[in-house]
Amino acid sequence: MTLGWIGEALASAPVEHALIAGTEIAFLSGLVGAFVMLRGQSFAGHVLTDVGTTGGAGAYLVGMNGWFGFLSFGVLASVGMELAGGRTRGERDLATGVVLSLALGFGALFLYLDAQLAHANASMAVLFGSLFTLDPALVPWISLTAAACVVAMLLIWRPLALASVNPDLARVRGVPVRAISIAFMVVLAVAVETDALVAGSLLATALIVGPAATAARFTTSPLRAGLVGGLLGALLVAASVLLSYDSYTWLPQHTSWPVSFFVAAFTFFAYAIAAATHRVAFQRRAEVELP
Amino acid sequence: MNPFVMFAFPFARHAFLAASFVAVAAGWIGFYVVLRGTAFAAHALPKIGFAGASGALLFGVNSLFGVSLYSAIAALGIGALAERDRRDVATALVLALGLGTGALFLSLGNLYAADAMSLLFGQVLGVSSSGVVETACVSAAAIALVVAFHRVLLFTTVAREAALVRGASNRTADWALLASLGLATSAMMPVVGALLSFSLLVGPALAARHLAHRPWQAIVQSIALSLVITWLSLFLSFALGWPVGFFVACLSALAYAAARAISRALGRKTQAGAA
Amino acid sequence: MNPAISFRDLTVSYGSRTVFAHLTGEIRAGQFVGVLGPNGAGKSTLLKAIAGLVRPVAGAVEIDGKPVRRRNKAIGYVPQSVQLDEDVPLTGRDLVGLGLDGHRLGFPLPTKERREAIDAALAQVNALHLADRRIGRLSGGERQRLLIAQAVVSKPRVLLLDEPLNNLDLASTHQVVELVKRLAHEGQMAVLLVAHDVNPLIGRADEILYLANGRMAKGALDDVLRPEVLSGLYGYPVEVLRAGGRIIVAAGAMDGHAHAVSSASPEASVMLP
Repeated sequence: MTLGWIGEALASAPVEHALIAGTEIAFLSGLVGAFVMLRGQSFAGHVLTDVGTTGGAGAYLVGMNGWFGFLSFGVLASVGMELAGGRTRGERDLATGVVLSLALGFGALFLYLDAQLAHANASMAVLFGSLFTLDPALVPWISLTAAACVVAMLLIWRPLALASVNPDLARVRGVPVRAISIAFMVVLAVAVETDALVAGSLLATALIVGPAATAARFTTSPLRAGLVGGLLGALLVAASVLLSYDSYTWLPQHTSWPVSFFVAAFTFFAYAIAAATHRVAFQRRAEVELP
Repeated sequence: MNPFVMFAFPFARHAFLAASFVAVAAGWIGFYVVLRGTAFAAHALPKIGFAGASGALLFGVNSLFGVSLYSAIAALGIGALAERDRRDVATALVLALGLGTGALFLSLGNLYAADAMSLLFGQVLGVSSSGVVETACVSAAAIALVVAFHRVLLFTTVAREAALVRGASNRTADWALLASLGLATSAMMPVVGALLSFSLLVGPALAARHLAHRPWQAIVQSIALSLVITWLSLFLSFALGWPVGFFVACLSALAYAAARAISRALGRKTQAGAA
Repeated sequence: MNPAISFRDLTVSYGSRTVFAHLTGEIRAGQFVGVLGPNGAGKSTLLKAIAGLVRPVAGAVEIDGKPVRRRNKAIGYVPQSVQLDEDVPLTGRDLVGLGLDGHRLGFPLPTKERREAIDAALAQVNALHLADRRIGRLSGGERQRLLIAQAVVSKPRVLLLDEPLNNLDLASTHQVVELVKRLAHEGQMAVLLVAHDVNPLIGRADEILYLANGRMAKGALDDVLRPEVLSGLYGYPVEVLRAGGRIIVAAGAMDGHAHAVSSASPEASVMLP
């Protein structure tokens, strides 16, 4: 088998942009994902993608930049969810659910109105996005955003780790737990919305949770989990971009398979393999039932 | 415009019937979703069902079959993974994989945006008379499942080990609820759409639990609210032409906020009375 | 007559870690035994093994002379309390009713016998007034009493309580222990109660089962909480201090820094009022 197509792929400008933007956001997602795992916020992370979709659809509707819609809605919702809180995880998920339900409702309305105004394709782009149709002008902005988020994560890393593992101890030590949590949610929102904008909302869920959950099989340290998850995510995205480019020739009807499909499949199987071979590092006690 | 005009059309009568069955199922099952805090699964399964429907369109099979098959696989996957990891992680990963394949089906099938839109947001006015029967049967099956496991679902929530000693395992309860959600998803998808099924599952049940004291009261109130919300949404959608789901979501949130306010006010009154 | 609970050579491991090994003991009907020991010693695990929730790698548990099995009406189990949402639509009556038939299919039918059984269990724990209150809005002590009613409503021979005194104020702690003692003696139940602190059990528990370092000592309180007995268990010198009718077990100082001094629990730090 010849690998010449890889060279050909790398020479194409859309592929280059996709690779740059994709790996950057994947690394950021893995890093943030480590804390999403630690704090049990997978649902919130996923909800932000739907909220962002609504924001994006709304932005199209009033003719604004889509990214602005994604980000503003995402950040607002993340702060809202953090403030709504809840004593138990179930209660917190239900509060998150109310936010989600409203976001979905308005998303339905915005997309419907978009479609009325003949922006039907815009709405599909919002839902499923594609790395290959990325506006080249956006690439530097994405790099900048990713870099800013990584820096922000490193700044709040240690207090965040303490506040996530043992909030009471953090309070005793004088860590502003609430403020740190909100700061994290904002970074999470920015990461998720950038993912969603660049590559479609479903990719954000895969990139935030998948690599971090895989890394959590091997290490309990958030820093190591974040780095491993980030690098793994970047690797998987790069492979997905190349395969997606090549997939154009796979079937007779000449349609590229979406990048998001490959990313979702790869992250899932990476996780499945890790889960099959390694028990969770923070070992839980398995209860065996008698027959 | 007088919304009752809609009953002059057979398609509107079908829509009304199908939506009513779905509303009862959502209100009923929603009680357990809220009780056990499984909001994420209640959101993920319909979305995965959407991927199943796009697969059914691609391969030219009945979409109800596609949705059921996909949500069944997803429910099994979440259940199985959750035994080895945290439930939210399992749900997120299965959801991402399901949506990823959905994106593949959509792009391979060259589906029009309109097809995807009607799956995501429902097309209640497109329900046929045979569709009504299908919806009724699937809704009934979904309800039957949670009714059968009613006590197990409650017992394992409030006292897991005590339930296990008596032979009621939390795992069984989880499976039953996931399976019921999968079935309900299949019934709801054509009517309210993949995304807004969630509003109907969670909104009325959340509102009801602020007012009810006992399980059966909460279930009855949740069903009643769910029906009222669905009917109102249908009327509004018919009158204004906006998507049904938008009204479902807004009215659910409204009902929840109102129930919370009433419960707060009543709580204050009883406290004052006791003092 | 068979003892209500008996376990022989009981060994439980999680993966490669052995929690405890070769424990043997029995508890008679009507006997109230407090289970003590440091965190991680396997107190809750022992309870779960006796209840048949954890499969031992070796040894056997018998309840009333028969091997422990699932669907066991002879065992009443009070789990560590779960945090419930304030608005869970369940009343005290619903909670207790689940102990009666929560494992069955379908909705409960409101029969007269069911109602009477629930009322009787509520009366046993002095909680009739909680019958129609929502459980999410009760105090810790009130909810604990309801959970005990849930466990005894099926008239079990054995009552197992996993840390029922956690997060209770002093008054509720004494109330719950008195209640458990009365249930054991009047109802002729064999009772195992896992606790952090020995002090609420002084003068109330018939025996103490002390778990540490994978081993156990069992007997009357004054026979078990002695320096030579506990030092033997821990494998290093342990002091037992008595002050003002309270008992303090001081273990540690082996790794160079003084371990927290606490009541029968070397790893819990805040104990003395």
